[in-house]
Amino acid sequence: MLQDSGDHQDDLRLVQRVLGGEEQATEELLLRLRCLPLILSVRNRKLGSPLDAALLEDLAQETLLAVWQRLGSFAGTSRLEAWVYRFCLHKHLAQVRNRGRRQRIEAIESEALEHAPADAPRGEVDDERLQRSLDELEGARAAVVRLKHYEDLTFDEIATRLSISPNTAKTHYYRALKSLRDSLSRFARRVP
Amino acid sequence: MSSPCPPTHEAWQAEWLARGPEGLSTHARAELEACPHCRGERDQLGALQAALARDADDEREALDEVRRRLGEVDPRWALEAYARRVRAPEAGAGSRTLLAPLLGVLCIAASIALLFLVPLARQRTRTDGADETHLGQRFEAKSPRGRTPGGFGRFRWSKDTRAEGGYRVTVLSNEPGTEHRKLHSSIVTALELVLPPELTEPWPDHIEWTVEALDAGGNQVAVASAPAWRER
Repeated sequence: MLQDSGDHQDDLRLVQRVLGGEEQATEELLLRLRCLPLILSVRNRKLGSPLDAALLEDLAQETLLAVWQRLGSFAGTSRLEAWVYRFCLHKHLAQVRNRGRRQRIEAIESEALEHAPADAPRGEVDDERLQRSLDELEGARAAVVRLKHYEDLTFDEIATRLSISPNTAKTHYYRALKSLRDSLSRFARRVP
Repeated sequence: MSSPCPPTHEAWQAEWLARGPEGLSTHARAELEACPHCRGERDQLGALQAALARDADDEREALDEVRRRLGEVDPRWALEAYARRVRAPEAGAGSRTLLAPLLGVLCIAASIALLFLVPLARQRTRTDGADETHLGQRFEAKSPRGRTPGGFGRFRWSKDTRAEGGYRVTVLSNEPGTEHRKLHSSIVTALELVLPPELTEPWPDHIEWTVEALDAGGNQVAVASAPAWRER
């Protein structure tokens, strides 16, 4: 998996070139961002298509703007498409919530919970709250969780990637999990 | 919130959650198993790990599908969508401020994108190059053109007085018997484009390149193209 780090660095360099005002990089990045409407479409289908095509197109444009405005926060921890995926996830969830389709999502999640295998109890941790909690993680903790779960790296690989010791990586991971748990509890109390 | 456990438990818990109990000594494992606080915490955090693993699986699965279906999306989508949002009067002033340096480029690029593929597709069938004349002014793709001993590092064309929006240069592969492939594209204001050897060296030896003159609104006002091949 470590060989992927080169791709991440390439993506980071691309974003830096865009932020530096390079026209060619801007065009290249916009070409890459054509993944965005597809991500939204896939996500929408997974949740039972609560948004129609017109809403999805509007959302795609809105998400593109959000991505662009936050380009400076891209740290190269993941591939660009994975980073964009998180934006799409948030925007889609927010849009569905705003459309008053919350009940529909929960019904779908409950159904998924019934059919999920015993060792993967879907729905135990609310999807939206998990996303919001992940958002609250910062710095090395966020990076370690990302690399461990989403990039599937070992702790030795994470340590190399982040230039820290494996033990420090594990400690960050442990503390990140505890932070996530605390955030989830807070959101659970706040969100009905 | 302070932990009721001895300080050693934190490091052991971290190890357990990171790699499972196998990485711990028998003593550490037994002590953690006997500690109700640590056990409860592991249950909670274990559920969270499972949720993260599922979320990561969802992400991987979605991105795999996106990769497979990428060809379904018009390559111009982001260019057009972005230009529309920036141009829209209701677009936020803050966004505009943040994106001001890119705005001009993107508007031009998006407009060009609308017109880009059709003329380009037309030009792909030309093998002998094509130039345009406007009011007696010939718009010409000067070099490289035909046999090019020096390689593809420098592209030059003639001036078009209407080209207030610059010139867009697009280079396509032109290998016999294979489909055209876009190798490079950029917009410049000068009458030449210089590319570094590390960029052009991996290109195939046969190319076809197009230069489009763009007006201030990013619309194509003239186009010229030329095939070129290099001898190594």
